[in-house]
Amino acid sequence: MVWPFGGSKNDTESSAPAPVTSNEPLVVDRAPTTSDSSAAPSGSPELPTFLSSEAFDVSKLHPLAGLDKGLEALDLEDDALSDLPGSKGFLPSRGWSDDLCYGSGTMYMGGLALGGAYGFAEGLRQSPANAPAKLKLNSVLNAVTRRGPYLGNSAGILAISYNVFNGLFDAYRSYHDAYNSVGAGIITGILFRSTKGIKPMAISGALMGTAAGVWSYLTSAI
Amino acid sequence: MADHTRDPCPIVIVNDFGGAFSMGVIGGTIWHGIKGFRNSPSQLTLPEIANCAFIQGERRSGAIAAIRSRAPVVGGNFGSWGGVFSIFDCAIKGIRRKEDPFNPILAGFCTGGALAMRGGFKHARNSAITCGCLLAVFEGVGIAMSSYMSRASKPQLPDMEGGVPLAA
Repeated sequence: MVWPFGGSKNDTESSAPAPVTSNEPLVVDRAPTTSDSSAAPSGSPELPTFLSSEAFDVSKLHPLAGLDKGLEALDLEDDALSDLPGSKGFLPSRGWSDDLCYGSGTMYMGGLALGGAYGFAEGLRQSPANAPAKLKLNSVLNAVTRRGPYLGNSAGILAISYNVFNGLFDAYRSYHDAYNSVGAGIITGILFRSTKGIKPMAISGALMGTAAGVWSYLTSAI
Repeated sequence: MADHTRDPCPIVIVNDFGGAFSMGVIGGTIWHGIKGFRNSPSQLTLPEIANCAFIQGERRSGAIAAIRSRAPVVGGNFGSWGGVFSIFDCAIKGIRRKEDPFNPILAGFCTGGALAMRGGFKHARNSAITCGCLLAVFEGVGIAMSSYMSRASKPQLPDMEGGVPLAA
């Protein structure tokens, strides 16, 4: 049986030296050997030019390969935008988990920043005017760490609840519209004040429903 | 080795804040709901048992009070940890201009130190070292898991008849 890939020792020893015994010299510089150019294929590239880096210039590859623009995160398959009907606003989203993470993150950071700024001012105001810097710093830090997390936590809780209910309604009705948003806002507001009694629940639900409606109108109008 | 399963860097901080906060709130709701339920007294009276067997005495109100007061705090702690970690991670990526397992370890070190800063230098140092070691363990376990998972698809030398390798 003849082994097609040149396995046995006899084959390699008889075939490998064959190019060396021919008259064609294996040199890179071909200028002096133009006389016997008929023996060598004229268009064959020499070894150094073939392996040089410009052979792999991506701009010379097929344009449809798109290798010259690098890897773009938005081209990846996982980053397909949500195809839920009616959910196309001016904010791109890949689904309810995106809404949840970015919504609660924005609200939490915004609440933290607002509450922190209020606490900063409060701490400066509460400390005596002639207090040393260390006391002032401590007063400011105390006020910031009291006000900031409280407002941030409340805002983040509201955003989580709103986005969870909104995602549930979207999944249940298989499309998105302003009614889903407003309903999620009303339920969120009612839940937020659910231990305070009927009247605060109604006020809070109405406020959150209005806010959700305004937000829904803004995202779809822009 | 860039990680393309996450969003690009400045915006991913918002995502991490929100994701960590949500995880903390949901986990804190479960945790403190059970804890508040168990810590509250159950005064079993006959009409209550007859009305609803699974809500006993002060247990329902105790669970709700614990969730209301504690779950947002747990969420805030998780969220601030995750967000500060993400901020440090992005900053270290920007400075080093490469992505390897040392980024999260350094970011964890900085996060632990920054969040414990008000406890004094010693507290901050210990917390930073603890967080760095924790992140190093996470990264090591992650690398071990990925290499274990990719072992099944490792290229293998085909078993040739007679033991002759290809292109000898």
